[in-house]
Amino acid sequence: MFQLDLKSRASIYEQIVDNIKELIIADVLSAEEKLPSVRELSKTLTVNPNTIQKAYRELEYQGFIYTVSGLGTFVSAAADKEVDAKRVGEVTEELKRSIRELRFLGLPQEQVSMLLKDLLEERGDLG
Amino acid sequence: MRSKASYFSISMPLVRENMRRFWAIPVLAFLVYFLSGVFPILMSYKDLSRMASYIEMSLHNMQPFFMGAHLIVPVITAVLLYGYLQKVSSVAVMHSMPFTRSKLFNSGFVSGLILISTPILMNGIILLLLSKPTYRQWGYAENLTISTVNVFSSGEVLNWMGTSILIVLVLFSVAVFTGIVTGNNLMHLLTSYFFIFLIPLLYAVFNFYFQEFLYGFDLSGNWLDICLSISPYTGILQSGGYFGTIAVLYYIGTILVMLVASAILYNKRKLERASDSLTFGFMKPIICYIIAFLGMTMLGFYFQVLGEERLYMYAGFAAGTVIFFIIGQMIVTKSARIFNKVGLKSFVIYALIAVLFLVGLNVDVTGFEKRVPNPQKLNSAGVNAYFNSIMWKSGADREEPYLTTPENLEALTKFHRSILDNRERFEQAQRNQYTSSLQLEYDTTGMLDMNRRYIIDYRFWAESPEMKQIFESAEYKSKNSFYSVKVDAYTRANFYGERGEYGGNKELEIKDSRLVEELVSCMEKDFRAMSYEDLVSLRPSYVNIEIQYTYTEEGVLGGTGNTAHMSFQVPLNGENTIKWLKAQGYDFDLTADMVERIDIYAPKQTNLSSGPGAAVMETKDIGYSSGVPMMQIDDKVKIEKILQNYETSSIDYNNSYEIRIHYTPDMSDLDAREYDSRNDYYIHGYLNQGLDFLN
Amino acid sequence: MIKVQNVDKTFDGFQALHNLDLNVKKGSIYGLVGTNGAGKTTLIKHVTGILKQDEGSIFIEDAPVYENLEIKQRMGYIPDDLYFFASYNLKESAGFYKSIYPRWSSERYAQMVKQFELDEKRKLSRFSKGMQKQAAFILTMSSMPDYLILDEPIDGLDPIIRKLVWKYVVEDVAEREMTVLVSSHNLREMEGICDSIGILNKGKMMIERDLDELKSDIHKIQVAFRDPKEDPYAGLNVLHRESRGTVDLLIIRNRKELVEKIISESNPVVFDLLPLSLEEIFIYELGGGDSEIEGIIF
Repeated sequence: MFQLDLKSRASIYEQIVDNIKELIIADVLSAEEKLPSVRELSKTLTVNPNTIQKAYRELEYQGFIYTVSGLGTFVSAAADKEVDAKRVGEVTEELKRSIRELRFLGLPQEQVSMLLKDLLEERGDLG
Repeated sequence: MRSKASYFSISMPLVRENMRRFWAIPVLAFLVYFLSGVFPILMSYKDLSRMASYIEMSLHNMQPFFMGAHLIVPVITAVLLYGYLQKVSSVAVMHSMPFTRSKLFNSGFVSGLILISTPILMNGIILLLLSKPTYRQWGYAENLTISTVNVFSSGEVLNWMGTSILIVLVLFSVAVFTGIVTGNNLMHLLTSYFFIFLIPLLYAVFNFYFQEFLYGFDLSGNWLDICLSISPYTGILQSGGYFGTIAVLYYIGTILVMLVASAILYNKRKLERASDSLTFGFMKPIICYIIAFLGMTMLGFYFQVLGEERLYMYAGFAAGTVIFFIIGQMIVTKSARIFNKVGLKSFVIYALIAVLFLVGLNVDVTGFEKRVPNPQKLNSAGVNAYFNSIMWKSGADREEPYLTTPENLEALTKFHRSILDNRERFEQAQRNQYTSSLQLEYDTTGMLDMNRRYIIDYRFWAESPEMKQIFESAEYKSKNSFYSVKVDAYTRANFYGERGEYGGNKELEIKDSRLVEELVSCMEKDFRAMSYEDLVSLRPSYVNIEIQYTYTEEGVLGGTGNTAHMSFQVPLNGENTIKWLKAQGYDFDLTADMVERIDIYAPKQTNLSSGPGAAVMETKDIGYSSGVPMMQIDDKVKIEKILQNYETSSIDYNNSYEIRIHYTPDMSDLDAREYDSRNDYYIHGYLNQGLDFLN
Repeated sequence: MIKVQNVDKTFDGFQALHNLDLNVKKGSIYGLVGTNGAGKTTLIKHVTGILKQDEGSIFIEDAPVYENLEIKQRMGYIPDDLYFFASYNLKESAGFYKSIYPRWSSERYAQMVKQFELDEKRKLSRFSKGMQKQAAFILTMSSMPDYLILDEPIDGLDPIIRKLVWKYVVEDVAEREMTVLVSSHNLREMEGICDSIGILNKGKMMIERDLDELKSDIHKIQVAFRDPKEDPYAGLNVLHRESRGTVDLLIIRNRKELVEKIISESNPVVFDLLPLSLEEIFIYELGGGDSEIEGIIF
């Protein structure tokens, strides 16, 4: 499904969370799609199942996935998600930093604006 | 909760694996037993009588291959089975597996039992199947019935199996014990053999100390037997291939003690000590002290041989203690760095123990030296001295005629006390006196019998009123009577002696049973009439008679027709015997007419001694002069006087005059003569009372 | 689960374990790390029921492990120092293991032999060290243990085999909730596979935490301010501080959010917040003073 970068600073748990989130955001994993079980995923990736467990819990907490006992774990529909203020704050900061950097690199303000607009249009289907 | 059963649990898988890993051992052992024991039998199976001796030797475990196998196999097996304890890697893996310590221990032990017994059992079965009557002959080959014993009966084979298994089991259990208390294979191996031979060794060592320090300690007798039987391995040597019931029980007891001790210690063993020399703290001083003790003894007694005084021996003790304590400490700590406080403390403790031990011996803490038994608490007692004895000895195996009457027992203890009272006299006795060792054996009503051995001089012995009482007592006379033995028939009488012509009758042998019987009755009468002074007299005997007779040994197959002997040194006042002999034509008189001359030598001149225990001269007095007599007597009157006075042993070398009685004998019996350089014949004698009587 | 409480152990005057506590939850992969001679192997030998502690208790599933056959039948141990019966090959050893471990699985054994490509009939003493380790691993895993204790397991194994080893371990943890206690110096690898960590030093347990919590508690900061405030780090637990020019390098023990909050208040122009790797945490916790870690962590 995805590769783990063992050299990365981010812990495996974070990587899993991020990676799955990416896949969900990018719609590679569609809503209601069944995710591999903790066991299966841990075996596939050769990762401690407890770590997978934690990642799934975090994703569930953030609203990206949900578990039905006995059936498995599924991707949440976009609308079900609650707004994660904290996460929004984090991502906002990241965005701010990135934009600042772009400015620092010399990209003129108009181009940054254009960039944002394109991006939003791209994902316009997200509503 | 551990149930009782768990102490006995075994892991079959472990036992199985031990068999798989170590099967080579029983195979090798089997081959050794087979090739050295069974194979030769098979080779000569048609006619086994030639092999009878070898079969007997083998079945009594006296042949080198059997002995070697018995010694090596059990110890090697123990080293292999418990070797996993001696390495950090193996001990970890084995103890992480689902076994309790008891299980591990038991499985190893049971595996060992199987491995070491199987070759013996298998060979035993083969031998049982092969066994057939094979006789080894023994006894004099003359015109006597030959006694035979079947050396290859099933009883013998079963005995071999039993004794062999007992031996290897004892050795194995000792080796297992040492495996638990040592930490590496080399120490295990060495300590196993150390312990196997240690106890008999220590027993011997202690006996030597006792002999050295305790006045009266009797080293002869059965101490050697006891010493050797402590370890069954050496026990087999002294018992001739059989173990008595007590010995068997003792060996089984040893096995059980070792087994239980090993099992307990295995549970307590600190596994992290693998590869150390010793795994239990308490073993360190034990082994170190034993080494120090043995070394101390060795050097002490070695030095004592070099120099007469006690000082040498103590110097040897001190030197041995220091040197061997250092060695011992290095061995048990597996390091050369022993010169520290711990080592010093250990040394001081040992030195203290050694000093206490020696002091205890010196002051006789147990009262050994002064102890004289209470005659009322004795069952019987025996006394033996080796002065030229007139007491007759029999060749028959019979009980020693011990003293049992209260009067004699009391007299004997009184005599014992008088020896102790005269201790200084004996200890400072000059070497040039006629002395002998005297043995006292007491069979007490209590558990422990008492034995003593003293050196006394002849005069003390001859002048003892107690001895007089004993030797003239009815009990003594009847127990030493010639008729106290059950005789089937008298077969012959022989005459030996130094004196006289043998009359007209050149035959020194009487074969007529009836005549011999008559002779014996005369001997008996004379014996009965002898006083104590007669018995201990050093005067020459008229003649020495040896009677041969046959007897039946009770309860032994082929026990009839056994021969034995009784002897009698006929005293010069033995009227009955002398009369009878003369009537038969034997004349052993030595008269002045027969004597050419008598040479008298000054005291200390010659270096000849006569007979056992006779006065031995001081080494500094050796003068190899013998040759010139101080005077020569040919006056018949004087000769006669001398003949009436001379004795066969010198009592005091410094003062007794050696004499040589030159006479012309009948040449027919050449053995009894001595020759001097001039090829003439003389009889040895001594004048112990000085020469005044000549004048 | 494995519960070690207040354990003391002294070897001939040297105290190897001091009042040691250790907790391993069921189904967890616990990494035991420490300097050389810290007592890892000693502790492991206690947990596997080889050594007996002087004080304290060692429980597995609420029962003492020493002489506990029932637990030991479900425990697999691979020591640093391997031992096999001399002259045995893998097949014979498997026969022995089969006879003493009731849960032995012949299928797994066969599968592993094939996968690791080992010659069953060859004497184990002839194998290289690495292959011996593999053989030990096969034997232990084929006995389907509920508790797997590994002392330096991947020392000397090539990357392919290492991956295979962890694959099997993870599979059993996932499938059967096997509990694993691993001791290793390879902190990178530990980081990738363990969920809990215990750091041992001089016979004492210094830190025992869930790995992620351990890492979320302590951070490495690279920060620079345009106009530095008086004390931009007030309210933070600064463990270590280095300056390189205008850039400050710090190690701060606080939650990430708090750090971000406080530092942001000073408007940094450079602000990198990184978790420390397990290796760095190890060095920091056990490295001693500031001088030791200067230049190592940053």
